[in-house]
Amino acid sequence: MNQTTAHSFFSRVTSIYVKWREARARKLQESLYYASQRQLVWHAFKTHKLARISLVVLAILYFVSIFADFFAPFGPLDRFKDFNDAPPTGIYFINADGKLIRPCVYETKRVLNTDTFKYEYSENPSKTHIIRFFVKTEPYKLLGFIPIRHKLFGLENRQVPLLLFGSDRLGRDVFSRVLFAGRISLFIGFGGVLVAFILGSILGGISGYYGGVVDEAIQRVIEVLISVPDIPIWIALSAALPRDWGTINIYFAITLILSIRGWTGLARVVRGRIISLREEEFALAAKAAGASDRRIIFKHLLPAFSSYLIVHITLAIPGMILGETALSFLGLGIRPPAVSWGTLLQEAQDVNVLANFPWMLIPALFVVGSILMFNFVGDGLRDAADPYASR
Amino acid sequence: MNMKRKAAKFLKLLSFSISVMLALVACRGDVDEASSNSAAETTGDAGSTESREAIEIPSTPPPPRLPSNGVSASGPISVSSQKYALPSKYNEVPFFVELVAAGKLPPISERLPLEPFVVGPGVLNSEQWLDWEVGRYGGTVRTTNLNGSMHELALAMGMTILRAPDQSTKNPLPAMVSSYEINSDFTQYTLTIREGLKWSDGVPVTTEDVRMTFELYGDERIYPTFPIKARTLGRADGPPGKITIIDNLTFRITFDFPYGQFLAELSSWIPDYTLLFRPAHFIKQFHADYTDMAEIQPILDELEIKTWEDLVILKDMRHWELYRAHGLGVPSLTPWIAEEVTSSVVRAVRNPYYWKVDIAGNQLPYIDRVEAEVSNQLQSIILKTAAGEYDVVTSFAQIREMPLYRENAARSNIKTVLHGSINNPPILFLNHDFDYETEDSIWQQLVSDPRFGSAIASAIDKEDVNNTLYFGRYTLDGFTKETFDPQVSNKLLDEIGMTERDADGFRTDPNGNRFELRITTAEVSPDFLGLGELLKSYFENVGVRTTLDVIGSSLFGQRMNGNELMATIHWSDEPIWPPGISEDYWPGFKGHWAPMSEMYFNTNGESGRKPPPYLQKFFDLHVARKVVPPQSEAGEALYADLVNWFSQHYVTIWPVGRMTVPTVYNADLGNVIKDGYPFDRALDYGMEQLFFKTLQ
Repeated sequence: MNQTTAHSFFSRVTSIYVKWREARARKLQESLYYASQRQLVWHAFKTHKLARISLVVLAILYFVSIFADFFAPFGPLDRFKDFNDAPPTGIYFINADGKLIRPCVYETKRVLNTDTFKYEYSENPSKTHIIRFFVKTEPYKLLGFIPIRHKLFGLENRQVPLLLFGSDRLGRDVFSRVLFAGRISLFIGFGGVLVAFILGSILGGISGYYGGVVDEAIQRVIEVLISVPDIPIWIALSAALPRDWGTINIYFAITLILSIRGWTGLARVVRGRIISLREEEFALAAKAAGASDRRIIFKHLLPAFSSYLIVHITLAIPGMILGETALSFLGLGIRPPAVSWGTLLQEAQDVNVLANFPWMLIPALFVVGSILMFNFVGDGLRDAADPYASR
Repeated sequence: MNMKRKAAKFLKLLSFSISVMLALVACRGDVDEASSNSAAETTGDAGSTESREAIEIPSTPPPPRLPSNGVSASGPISVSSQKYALPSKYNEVPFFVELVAAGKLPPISERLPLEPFVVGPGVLNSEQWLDWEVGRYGGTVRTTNLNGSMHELALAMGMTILRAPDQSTKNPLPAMVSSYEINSDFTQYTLTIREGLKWSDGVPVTTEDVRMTFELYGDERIYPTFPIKARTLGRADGPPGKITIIDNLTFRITFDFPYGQFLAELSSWIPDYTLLFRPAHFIKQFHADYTDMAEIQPILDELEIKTWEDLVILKDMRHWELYRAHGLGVPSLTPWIAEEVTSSVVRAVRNPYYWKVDIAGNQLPYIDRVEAEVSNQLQSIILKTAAGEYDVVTSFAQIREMPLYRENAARSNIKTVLHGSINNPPILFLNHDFDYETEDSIWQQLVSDPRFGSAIASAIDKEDVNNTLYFGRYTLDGFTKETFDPQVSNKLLDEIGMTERDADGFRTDPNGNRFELRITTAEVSPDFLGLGELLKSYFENVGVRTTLDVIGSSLFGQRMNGNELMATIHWSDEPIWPPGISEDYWPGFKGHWAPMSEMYFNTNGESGRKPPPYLQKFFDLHVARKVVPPQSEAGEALYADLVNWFSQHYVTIWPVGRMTVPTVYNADLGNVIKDGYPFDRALDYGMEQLFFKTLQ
């Protein structure tokens, strides 16, 4: 008796659930019929788990970089004079008596062993410094205009080093520097990518749609431009631009100048797509119906390959991050004391770092990580951008 | 023609004497100005009035200023002795035993000079720094160089005509010569070549080689201008030294005015023996005045060279070219001679005719072969050094790698010696000629005021630089006497009128406009950048806005030559300035501090900037220093004045004093210098005295 009641209860619950799911699916199905393209893309993108997670991680990365003043416990140039080349600070939950306490760091002293030339660290568990959230610091201006006097976390005594990723050669906190470096590395290429994108799609579109003399002219210009080598121009420009601009402005200017060459690849693809699309029936029909060129391009042709454009942008951004890192690593891009992931890695490029201070290579993880994320997002977008394609 | 030449010579002489007179006048003007402008000279004035007498150079000829110490207490110098007696017999080198037995090489007694140069304790290095012992023959020393620069090997081969231990030029012993004599006013140098001294191909060295050298110097087809070091006072406009051949072995060089610095040139590895000795018999083969063109033409065709002059220029070489492909087969007086030069390795083998022996009668060098691997990656050199794949590495090892070398010491059988260097750590150069053409230039106003330099110097936390970049192992002395005191720095900056602050909290210039100290550097060595960043933080700490510009070395050179740089970071050779071996305190050398004034000096006022009085004083001191041997009493006093001048005028600002650098040796090598030795460079360790205690 008992058993049957239980059984019937269970089957009832199941059937309700099944019905609910069916109703939901139906609703979704119905909504798909009259969903806009954008909704469809978003729906398809949401089902791509890796892309979704990557997007969230990237958002966090960008957010934290923008508000690095708040998230980083120290400034990018703040030094701990007696703790250069120091390994990451240990964080403990137990004090000297073995009692569980809030996360803290132990007071650390170090001496140079004059024989081995290595620093020897001694931690004193009886002197602890509790890590506090929203710790008070000297007042500063977030983003340069919001007055604020708290950091996300830190120690009350600002003289005690709290080095999550260790410190660099001059005793600066690698964690804070990585966050501040993100500001430059994640953003500086945007301008160039944007200019290249706009030029590429407009000139490629004109070239493909109108054909004839205009097409010839644009294609020959493209051929001339792609024959120009990048790195020599880079070196020449970095020498030619006014010196009082500062290294970051110079880099930004060069990315803009180089984007004048960078649009060519995109333009060629756009041209090809437009040539094939303008012969399609829907385009011809629109033309026959007397639609203006403008309407045909923006209402009929552009949506048909916007998926490609979106993917192109998501893949161009990691390209620019890598470009910055590579050029700065070679000493051609951004130079210290400006902080970017490339300069952080450049400082880490010697045998000593590998052998004795491996924590200085942590910025590399951020470069690799952010680029992977962008590629996953691009992958998800590519799948999603054509929601009717069968998978 | 002859008349014309004479006239030209006369004009040259005249212009020289006029320039000396001008210098004197400028110097006098300076005295007056200094007394009226005493506010600018607050420190160390006592020293400079005393030394001023020494600075003054009357017009032609400069008076002989006779030092009263050992070099030439009174009257002329004459040295013909050795530190150790000749060994009673000479031991044949095992490496050559077979060749000698086969009759292909003469036995040792015939290869050596009649009286070879005897090396014992305290000869190549002072006894304080090296416990010298008699070594044993044999073995191969493996070393390296970066991008085929030949640095280490070439410097190790700079053999000097006279020799004083370490990096000194004081009381040198005759080395390639058996005796030398200098007259009382340092205008005549009489040298006698060691009898039986032979080139590495066995041909004796005679005065013909010296005559040939001077002939080449004076031949405009080969040398467009007569080399500066063989000119009177070592100046571009000094009359060339004249050579007199007395007999087969004795010759005399005469200068128009006292030129005591020449004693240092004879004892310095920078010009080395090729200053006076070039293998005449070898060069004549390529010289159309001595050999029929019909014989030279096939060589020209083979080497694809157009004229015989170019061929002579190629074959007439300085010691640092001996270890390049075109140096193969050129007779030399070096301990090892190149036998193979490829893009990946340079191999050198012992010179059978080398002219030094030890006190036990062994011919130097002890080591049979030297092998220098050509590397193009500094990091791979460091790794291989730590792995013990080289036996001697000095130029490429830095103190930052010490943990690596010490950690691998036992495993790789290496030994690290920490010693000084002939170079300084990077120093800050303030360009006193920057922006000089702008009227009312703010930079000129600031930089010529010693209080500005002093403020900058006081802002630098020397100890912090030392601890952060150099394990606290560098010294804190140097030409900058200021100690770290931001308060003093702030006070001085206020005093010179930089009182206002702009929107960013930085000081404005005395007129209330934005001020920026621009430091430019090329990343020559990894510590340049770190130092630059530290300096920026120190200067901004006292409110001076500072930008750090890191550019490529070729661009750096261009901008430096264009006088476009306000301040630079570079190193120089200060530790070997006192003996007169290096002169790179010169305003347009490593980091520029007054390039346009230098141009004015070098062109006798034709172009460049007429130095303001305080800079003119430097040139006067520089000229005065050349008159006497650098390490004579007078020379040392003049050098002290020069140092004083540097300290007072802040053309160079020293974040730290002297360097400590490691040399990594195979632990089995003997006759290795001790920890704390003040210099570096394989040469003055005397690479020829190294030996393997147990042969591999």
